[in-house]
Amino acid sequence: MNDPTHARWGDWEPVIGLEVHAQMRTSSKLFCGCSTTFGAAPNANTCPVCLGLPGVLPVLNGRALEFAILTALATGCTVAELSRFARKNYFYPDLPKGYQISMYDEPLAVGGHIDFNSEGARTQVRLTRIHMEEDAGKSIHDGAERESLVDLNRAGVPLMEIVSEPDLRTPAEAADYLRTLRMILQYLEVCDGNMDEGSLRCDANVSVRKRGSDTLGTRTETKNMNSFRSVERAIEVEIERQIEVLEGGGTIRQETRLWDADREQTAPMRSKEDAHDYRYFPEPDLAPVRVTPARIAAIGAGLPELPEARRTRFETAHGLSTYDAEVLTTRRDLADYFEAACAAGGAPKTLANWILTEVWRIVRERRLDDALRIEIWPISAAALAALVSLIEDRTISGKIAKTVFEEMLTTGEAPAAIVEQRGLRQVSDEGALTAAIDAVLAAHPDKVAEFRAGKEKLLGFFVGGVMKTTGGKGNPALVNQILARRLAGG
Amino acid sequence: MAVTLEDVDHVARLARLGLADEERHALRADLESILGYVDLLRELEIPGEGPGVEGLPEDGCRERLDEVRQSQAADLVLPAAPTVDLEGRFFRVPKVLD
Repeated sequence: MNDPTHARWGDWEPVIGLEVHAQMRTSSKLFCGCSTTFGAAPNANTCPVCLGLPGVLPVLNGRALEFAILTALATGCTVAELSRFARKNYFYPDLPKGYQISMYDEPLAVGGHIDFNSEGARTQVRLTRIHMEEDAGKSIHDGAERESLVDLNRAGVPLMEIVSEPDLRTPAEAADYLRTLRMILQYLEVCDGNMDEGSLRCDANVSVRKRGSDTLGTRTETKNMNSFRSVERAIEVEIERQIEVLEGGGTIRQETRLWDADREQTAPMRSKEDAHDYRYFPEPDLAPVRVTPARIAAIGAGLPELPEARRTRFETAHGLSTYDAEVLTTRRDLADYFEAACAAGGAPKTLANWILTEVWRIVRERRLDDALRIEIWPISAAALAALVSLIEDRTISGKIAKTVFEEMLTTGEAPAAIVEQRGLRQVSDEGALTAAIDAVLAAHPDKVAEFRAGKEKLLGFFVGGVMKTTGGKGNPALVNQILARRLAGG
Repeated sequence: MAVTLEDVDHVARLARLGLADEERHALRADLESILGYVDLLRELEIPGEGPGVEGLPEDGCRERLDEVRQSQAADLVLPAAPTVDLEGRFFRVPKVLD
């Protein structure tokens, strides 16, 4: 077996687990009615509950609970019928209550797994647990030298913490796991997956051990990675650092480290050194969360078809290549668009081709893909299907179809109307094409002679000439066929 | 339950409190008597699923709809904070590293 880790780290085997914090796409916070909108004026989205003022009580956001359950079901977790919020106590200026409401020894869901392809192999990562918790606020350290600024808009925003078992073995595998998890969360529409805005954050638990050993080495927790590249790079750098320490006769300290993307290094986080003692206890302000099997089943009934299943179906039902099926199913809206176009009567393979090249190019240009779900496509699925049908029934060539596509983008007109108005209908009249071909051949007797003497590359030259005289409308297959015949002297 | 001075120092460090020596001793005695009372409560046998479950409605945690309710709390709270950047509407705190 090809094992890329072997060559890279010699005798050492990295052991990696990820803790992912996903911000749930609710309108209001986890325990109060404040808005979760990103980018509001500092402290505008705060109220007595999330400011930690005395005399207030948290009330659970029912949708957040359902989002977390949906995620648990999509990843094969077992949802606990009874779970419990707990207080995680620590002091930091962006945590107004002095504790975070989280879950501890009775989480919402346990077990489960995520399966994905990485580095050419099928991989499974087991999930330890999924629980709900509230986010902390944001401290801003730039500016004044001896002060930090605190914005509590994010305090109380609902998060899911998704903890994996230490089943990952390479940085690339960790990044692929995270990509798959993000795709599932986006399919479920429970998280927008935006790493820049912090709606998906990842901490990596990394340790190394001698290959073949079944005990775990001392691990560190690395934070502050806000892109897939950072996750991969930070883990790689941390693995190398640990190996260097151990080979130099040193020992690894269990600590929290911060990734510095500019310097490409991790450094211990001083404030967290003593903080592992969080003195958890059950949250007395919230009753335990009870979820009946009937409610879990009802939520499960709302599960969409997940990317993995959809990809397989696209290959078998629509005859797509593995690559096309994989790319089309990376986004739920994209897969939906493809299926809508198929339902409207387009040929699946041609549709896949057009969507992944022309349509997606426009989507990118217009940055429509920034949204979790593209509501209005540059061209409707039905219009694209109509265009593709015109290619399939040979009314127009693939090349002319690109002209029609551009016209559809600017005018919004139906493809058939554009073809008629602009006279773009493909010329498949054998007589007309033969005349055009003979004219081109007659104009270039020298080239015809060269071709007949064996310079077959000149075929393209003749085809180009014919296309020019037919205004690009000559049926390419027919043009090639007649040309071949005429050049052969037929 | 016996509380030692080391326990007091540990908790004080977690809470980022600087305690004078006499305060350490006084708090040690206070904590010991508080926890002693908890020990007393522990002797009671409470049936059921553990803390917070007894006597609660069967449907568990109360839930609310996911609806935004604007609060003007910050307008009152910001001016009341010990240090504040009113123009930028931030709370200002002594610098915390990291």
